[in-house]
Amino acid sequence: MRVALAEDGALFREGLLMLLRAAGHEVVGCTSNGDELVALLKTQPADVAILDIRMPPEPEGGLITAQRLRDAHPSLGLLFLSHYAESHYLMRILEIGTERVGYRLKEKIGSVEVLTDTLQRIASGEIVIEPALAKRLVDRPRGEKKDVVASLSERELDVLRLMAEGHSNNGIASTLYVTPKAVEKHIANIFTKLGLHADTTAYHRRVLAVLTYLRSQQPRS
Amino acid sequence: MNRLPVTRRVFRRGDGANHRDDRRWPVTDETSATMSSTACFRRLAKWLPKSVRRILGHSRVHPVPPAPTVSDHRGKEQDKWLRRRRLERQLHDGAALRISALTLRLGLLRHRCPPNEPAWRDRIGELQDELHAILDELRDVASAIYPPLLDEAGLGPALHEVASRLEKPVVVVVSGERYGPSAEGAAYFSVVECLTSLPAGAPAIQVVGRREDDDLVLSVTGVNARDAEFMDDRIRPLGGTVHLVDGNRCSASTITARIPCE
Repeated sequence: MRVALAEDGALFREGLLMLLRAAGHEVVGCTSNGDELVALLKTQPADVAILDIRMPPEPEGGLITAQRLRDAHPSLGLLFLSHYAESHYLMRILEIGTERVGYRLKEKIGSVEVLTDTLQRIASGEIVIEPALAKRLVDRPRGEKKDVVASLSERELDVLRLMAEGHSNNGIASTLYVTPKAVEKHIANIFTKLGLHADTTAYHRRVLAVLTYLRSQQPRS
Repeated sequence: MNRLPVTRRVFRRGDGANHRDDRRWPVTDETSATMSSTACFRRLAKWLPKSVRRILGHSRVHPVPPAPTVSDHRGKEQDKWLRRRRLERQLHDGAALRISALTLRLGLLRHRCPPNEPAWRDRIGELQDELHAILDELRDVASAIYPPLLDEAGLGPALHEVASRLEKPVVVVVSGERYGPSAEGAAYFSVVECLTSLPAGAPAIQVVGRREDDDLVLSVTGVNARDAEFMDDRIRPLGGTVHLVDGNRCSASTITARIPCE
């Protein structure tokens, strides 16, 4: 896979460069800020751009750069790396795009397998979300949603967690060792219990609906 | 500036017990907390005969250095918040980044392990998990110093994030604009203190924040009245004010605060 990288921390940038190469990916360019990455990608095609959220141009250079890249190259995948997994940034990222995007903690992509899996899922169009963040969203729903989520069965909770990580039906099926049809059934049940009416066959809308539901505040009484 | 030793004020309640509550029952125990040595000298000099005073002359009576003004105190308090923000950034750009980079190097090492040594791969994976745990602890420390989200995204997003991690129902309505590091820091830690001091199962809490002229106006509804005191400790040194609107002793109070923005 062709990857471009922008990160202002030299140590981390060099480490990621080496790991990407060891994983067999072609690194088309490596920059220390967003502006250089935009310039680089004008001439060098890539499948996925990896961006540090907190880099120049300050303060949130990764997000500003990503918006410019999404406008210029709509099919380019975007992987955001951060030292923090915050739902605030997840929502900001999903405003930039709900296809071919990923948000992961810097220290959690430190293996060839995880890094490659993350990049491949993004390149194939999925949303990839840091599991620790997805878990927090599912395990600590806000206000009255707590009771709703508590009414889900154990298996439905497993499916909800994987959905919140952005997995496709097939991905959920292979992780839980069940058939895609069984996953569909669980998802239909979850959506009924949560009171969501999104089209369960549309992957992106479904993930977005679940994440928005889990994060939104309790309506004011 | 030279100061005489500070005598702490002692206040007595009706029962004769000593309390450190500066706001009640002041008794006339002497205090010289605010008197500089120069001022003392001037006062003493009044009792000396004119001839002695002439000998001593005015050379001994130095001009009194100006007392710290309200804006000096405010400046110091603002510096405190800037220092906290710098420390957090130092953690992020220094130790945290180094450890994250180390997980990548370990990943590379794991990848190059001989295929007939699966145990090595597992051990390296365990070390990476340990580094993740260390970074989690560093994140907690950084958040206690100055939350990075507060620095980068502002008061609204930072309070949303806190609310989403609490078991209690909290509604945050804070406009997205920026109020400056000290106003945001004082407001954030004051609200977090209010939220965390409430017992589980407490009724919904509402946090509203907006700009009025050059002030951040904050109102927190459904919290303990006594939290107003903690808020006051943080907000007054910045030149702000805190009011308890609905003084029901321990429940459903509204605290409003006004904090000057930089």
